[in-house]
Amino acid sequence: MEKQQREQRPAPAPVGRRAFLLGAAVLGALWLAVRGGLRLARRARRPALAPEGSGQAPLGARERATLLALLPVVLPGDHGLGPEGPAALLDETLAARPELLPAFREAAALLERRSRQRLGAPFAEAAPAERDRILDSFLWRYRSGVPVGQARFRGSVLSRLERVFQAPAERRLREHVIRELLLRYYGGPRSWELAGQENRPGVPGDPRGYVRPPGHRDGAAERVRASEGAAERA
Amino acid sequence: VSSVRGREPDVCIVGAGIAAALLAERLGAAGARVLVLEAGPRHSPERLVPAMHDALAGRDPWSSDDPQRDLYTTAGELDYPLNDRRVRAVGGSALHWVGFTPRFHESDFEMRSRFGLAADWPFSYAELEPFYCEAERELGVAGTDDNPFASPRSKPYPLPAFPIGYEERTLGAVFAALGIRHHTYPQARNSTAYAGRPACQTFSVCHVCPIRARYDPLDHLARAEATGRVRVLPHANVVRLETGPASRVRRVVYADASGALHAVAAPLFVLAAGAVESARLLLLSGGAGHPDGLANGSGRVGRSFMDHFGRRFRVDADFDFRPFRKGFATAYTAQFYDHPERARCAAARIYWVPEVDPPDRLVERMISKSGNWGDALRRELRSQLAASYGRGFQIGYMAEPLPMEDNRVELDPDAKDRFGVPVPRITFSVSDYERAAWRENDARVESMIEAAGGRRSGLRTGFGGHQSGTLRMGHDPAHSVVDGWQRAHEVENLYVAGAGPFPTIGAVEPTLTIAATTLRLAARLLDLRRRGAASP
Repeated sequence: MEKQQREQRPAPAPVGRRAFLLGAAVLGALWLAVRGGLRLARRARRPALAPEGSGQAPLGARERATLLALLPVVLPGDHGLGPEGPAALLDETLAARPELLPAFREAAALLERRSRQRLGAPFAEAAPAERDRILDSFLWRYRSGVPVGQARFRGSVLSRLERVFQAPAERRLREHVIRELLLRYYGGPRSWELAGQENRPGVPGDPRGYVRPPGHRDGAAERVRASEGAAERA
Repeated sequence: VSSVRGREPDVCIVGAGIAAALLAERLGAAGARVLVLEAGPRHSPERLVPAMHDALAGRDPWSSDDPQRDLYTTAGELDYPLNDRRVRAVGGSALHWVGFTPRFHESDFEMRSRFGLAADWPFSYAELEPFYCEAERELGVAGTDDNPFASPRSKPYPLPAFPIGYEERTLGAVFAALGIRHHTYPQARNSTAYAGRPACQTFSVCHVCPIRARYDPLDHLARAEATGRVRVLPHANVVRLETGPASRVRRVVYADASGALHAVAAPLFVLAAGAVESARLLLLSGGAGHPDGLANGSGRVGRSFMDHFGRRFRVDADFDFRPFRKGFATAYTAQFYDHPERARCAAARIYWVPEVDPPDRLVERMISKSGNWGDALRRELRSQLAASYGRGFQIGYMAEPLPMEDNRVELDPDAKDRFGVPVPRITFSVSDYERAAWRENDARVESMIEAAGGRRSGLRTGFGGHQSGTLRMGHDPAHSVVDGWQRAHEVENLYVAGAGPFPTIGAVEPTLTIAATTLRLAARLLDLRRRGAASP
């Protein structure tokens, strides 16, 4: 009987839900249009910060300092790279993806301009928390879980509107510069460590570790270390 | 063409892979003077550690040192990736193998008489069995007699088996509910220290084992050279064999790294350059009386080229494996090898391994999607990986190829290598016999995935690198290139070692059988030597 009653209950009108969604989409689009328009107007008034170099010329000292100041913000606090590590990471990234040099140069100019605008000081001299806030001012949408043009929204009206109004340089900052630096940092051994692997390729492991269930490990086993020319007892 | 100075060797071997290494060591130890000619360079064992780092960085450490020397072309249904599946260097392709060493099944030697397919081998499994034992001792095979589907063996394995891994055991228990039985995977990898090499320490980069726990031929070559009677000459790219009177090879001509030609005369020659290059050399060695190539009166040289074309399914599942990387499989099932429908559907062997891909790609996807950076990003990555990585598995199988006449190695009429020599052209298509096994085993694998509560998320296919069949051995000169002792029917002082002479290759890796047949050939040559007849 109860079942019958449930079946007889009229379904909610689909038109109302559709109208609500449509309204929300229109409002969202309007909001984005206004925001984008304001940004475009601001940008038109703002003089561009002259880059130190162009094209494939090496980064200038100021650009390099800005990007090196960005690295401690995007990497974890205890990144384990040592004092020279961030510079090496930047160089390795650019050596591996030289075609991204203009994007790195553009990102440095973007950060520097915003820092001078907000703090009246170069990005490299800003306090870490300030640098984080400056980055957030460009990338708040990513942080709030609305990654522009990413899989969840790709193809949707919202995504297309976002793409129209988001400054391409800000998108490149996230998708070309920060992403590439993070991929280089987390790639290889660190990805194994992140995945909780006890035995990543290229290092000796407990010869029978693979037999036991996760979390169950006996004492240390004798290891053999690969070395130039010979197998040595470690 | 200049003649190589010095005393003429008793035996000239072309190629320096596993077959050449075993043969040279046996012949050298028995007092024969042997010259081994290798087209590629000589890598020292010290190269293994940097090679491992190359492999970890995604570079092929064994890629060709001379691409213009190693040119080839392809035809047919599939482009055969020859240079990805061979190593041209002293040590040969056994420098990059993973080390699996199951034996062929008895049925593989009798495909014609049992099923009316392909051709029988000129000798039986029983005749080869003692040499399988010897090969297992030489390579240091770890295994145990727990495979109820394997062919009989007369001696225990020289090394204890690698225990079956946690993941393979866990999934094996799931598949047991379907009546599927699994067992250990024999492999030429030291489960304990053996032959002066250490036990495996799960570096997980098995195709470049940095501590040489996985067998490679370098020790056999070193022992051969230590006799003082064996010489290995790298960068000696043989371009033809020249014949003299009375159906004999008089000398081989090779090009050195500069392209200069040299000739080596010897009373006996062994081609051990792999199924592609050995066939190519015979085709290149045509002359008066044999215009279609040396030893090719049957027209079979280069025909029936075979390799295993494996299928592997990626499965999303929810096991808490967090796999402990070891780099090699420890179990498989041969239950579907000798099945009742073998006459119409190829044999197959099924294996399963935990998710083996590096987490890099997953991390890359997560980073691309994430809105975080700094400490928050690392926390997010850790948490997402804990929920997703190491919970899936892969399940694959290797099916038996049929030796098809049209799958072959020929000389390309248009392309030449850097020595001006026609390059091999490889034609490869998949037989209906093998496709029948795909249908059958795809369905079987689906039921296994379902039993494990998983979901198929991808399929990978690829060649095993087991080039074989181009120089078939058999009793009948009209239908084979070499006889049961691997001697060319038409050339009395020319032998062929390796997988080229194999009439069939079943559904297992051929390396142990290459070793066993080579040791049988070595015993034959030494027996002839003792008797003083056409021998080294």
